[in-house]
Amino acid sequence: MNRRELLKALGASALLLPASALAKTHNKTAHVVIVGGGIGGATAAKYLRLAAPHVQITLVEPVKRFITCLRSTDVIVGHMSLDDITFTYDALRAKYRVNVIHDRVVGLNPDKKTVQLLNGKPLTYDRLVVSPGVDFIQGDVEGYNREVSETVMPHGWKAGPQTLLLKKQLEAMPQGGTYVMVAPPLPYRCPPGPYERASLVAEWFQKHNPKAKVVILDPKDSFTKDVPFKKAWERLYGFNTANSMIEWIPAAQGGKMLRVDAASKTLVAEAGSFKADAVNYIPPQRAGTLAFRMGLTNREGWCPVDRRTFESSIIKDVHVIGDAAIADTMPKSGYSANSQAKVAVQAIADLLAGKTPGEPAMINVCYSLAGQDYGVSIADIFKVVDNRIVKLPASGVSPITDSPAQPLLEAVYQRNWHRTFANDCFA
Amino acid sequence: MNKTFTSPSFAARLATLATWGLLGLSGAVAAQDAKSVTPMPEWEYTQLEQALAKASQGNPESGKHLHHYMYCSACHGDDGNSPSRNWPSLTGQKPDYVVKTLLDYKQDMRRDHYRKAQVMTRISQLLNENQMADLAAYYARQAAPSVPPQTNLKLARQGAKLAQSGDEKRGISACSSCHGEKGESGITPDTPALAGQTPEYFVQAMQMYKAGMRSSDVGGVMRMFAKNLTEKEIQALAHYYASLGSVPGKDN
Amino acid sequence: MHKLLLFCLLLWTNQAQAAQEPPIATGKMLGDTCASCHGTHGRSFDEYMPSLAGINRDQLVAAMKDYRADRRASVVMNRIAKGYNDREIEAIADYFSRIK
Repeated sequence: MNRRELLKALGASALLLPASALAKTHNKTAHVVIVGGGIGGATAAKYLRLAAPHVQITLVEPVKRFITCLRSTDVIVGHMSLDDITFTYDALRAKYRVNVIHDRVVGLNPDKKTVQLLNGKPLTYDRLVVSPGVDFIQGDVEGYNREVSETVMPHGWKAGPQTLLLKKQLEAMPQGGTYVMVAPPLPYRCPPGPYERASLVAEWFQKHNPKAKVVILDPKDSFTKDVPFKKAWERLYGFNTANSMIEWIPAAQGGKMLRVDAASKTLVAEAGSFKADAVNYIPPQRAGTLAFRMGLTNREGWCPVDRRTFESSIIKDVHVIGDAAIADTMPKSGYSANSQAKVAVQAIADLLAGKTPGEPAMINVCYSLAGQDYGVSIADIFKVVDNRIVKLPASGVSPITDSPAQPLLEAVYQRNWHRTFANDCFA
Repeated sequence: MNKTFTSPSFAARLATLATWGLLGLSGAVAAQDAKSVTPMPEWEYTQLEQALAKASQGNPESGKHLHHYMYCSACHGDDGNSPSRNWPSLTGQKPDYVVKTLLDYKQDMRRDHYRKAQVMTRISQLLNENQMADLAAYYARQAAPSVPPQTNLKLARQGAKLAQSGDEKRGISACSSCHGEKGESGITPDTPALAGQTPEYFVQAMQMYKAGMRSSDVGGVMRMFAKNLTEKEIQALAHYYASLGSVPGKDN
Repeated sequence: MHKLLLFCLLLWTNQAQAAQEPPIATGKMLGDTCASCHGTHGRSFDEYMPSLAGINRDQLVAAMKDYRADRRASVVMNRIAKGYNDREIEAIADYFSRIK
């Protein structure tokens, strides 16, 4: 027996001890309730089962078919359908023994450790996971409100009816028209999303409306992956030339919104007035409303958590994951939600077994399309230091190369990744 | 451009590819659907000979540059000697076979493991025929791949007999009659060298032939033999050919 | 008796080592960061990203270190590998090599 074999044998026997101890603490089977069946919630349910075979798991989600935001811009430009980005909970039920309840959570009682449902009986939990996503702030700009967003100026930032509305408006644009996108301030869901959408809309114009253009009004002066995005825009859409199909107006050039007039589809920014033929207004964001109802938010409208376990700093035994959680340098992406879910449920499995949660490991990899055959990506690994999630300095965005293979491969990978990722969450 | 490289439906096929970002859960079904939409083109032997006769004598130095520039090295290794169980080694490969394979992909003839094949399909569409010949010349001038570390010599011995003698009763001719006594390839351009090939990749290729999902073999010859092979025999053959690898010289 | 001594010695050296170096996540926890691209448990869903389950340990360690040092070209793995230290890479390789 060499050293490695001995270590392996020791590892194996060491594993046996806590397993028998664990069986004892599970005489009374622990119950974990997960609220929200998006990417974070679905991943949490699946990975909790993988980490804790004996725990009772209940997932509460209002809809039976969940439409993910990932690739919803491909729906707008006609490369995919909503069905392609819609998932069910069949695998969670059948393969992972998750009790999925289609109901709405209307309240939380942290003392009794119960959540109230709109229709069903209250659920008692030992640990609660909340993955509420984001909601929109729609009263901060004159003339823009929820009704406007549902009729004239859709955000399309939660996939569903608004995605189709935006698709319709794009297709109805007159030749040579203007598509104005209002980008949101940080923090918001899917930081590269607005720029991917601007790119794919410009690509759509090349084929269907060659004189049309995209104007991005941005309250920021930079954005994630902006270097490779701008390079792609130069290569594909004439960016930085007089005939550019994409015009990006950052804060420094007056990109910040002042007011809108829905009737005339006019947007007034600091830079001046823009008459649009289609408007994609992506408003500022905060944690999903459910998080507020449960009392999990801070004054900025997001949910503070212990970065190692994602347990709420406000309510004990409740974990918040995904876009709603404050995760410092980690972007609000589906990939982050998936990674955070894995960390949170491993911590929950450890805590239920009477163990101290170990070191967390988190990652975010994000592929965006600057064109159907042109991908750009960001890849970051995260560690927790002094209860802050810090990004390791070495990783980062796609390099700029002169090889046509590199962006093409990123675009191919993007599609491979998307299917794999959906399976990692839902199947 | 040789007209065998294009067909009227090529643009349509590309469009099909582009909309192929179909989703995970129904993905396997979607793959089948897409296959049934466009029948997979196959080579006629004379067509292949004509196409290869047109291929120029490649320049190995340009090939070396392309090997890195087009990211071939990412999967097939820094010099074409695969560092991974997933992808084939290319060093020592017969130039005709490399060009043929790139043409297979470019013409969307490789739908085996379609989602993996897509990478090669798209990359090969960026290459012209001269570049394909350059890459082929670069791989050909190097020694055959080294014996992969995962090669199982016991399995290899089991595969030797079948490879050298075949099994006439079951309609399997000796592999060596086409692939060479030492897996160095034989007379026909569509016959690859197999010595030192990654065993896992070899198995994957044979399974695809066996299932009829790979049709890049001219006249269906490999599909015919593979159909009659057991999984165990395929494994044994894979390790036999892997065991014939050389220790490669340094990239020259 | 001989084995018991060796056992104690190993425990002691391991603890001494652990005291010097910062803690790392378990192989499973680290491996879960790979799963979002390479498939749950490293079993690929038949996509381009290869399966990691059952991979030869030394091959995976070598691949990650080559990516990290930019000795092997890639589209994203160079960037990802830079986020893991030697011990983490070995823990990941131990984890995936044991999955069948």
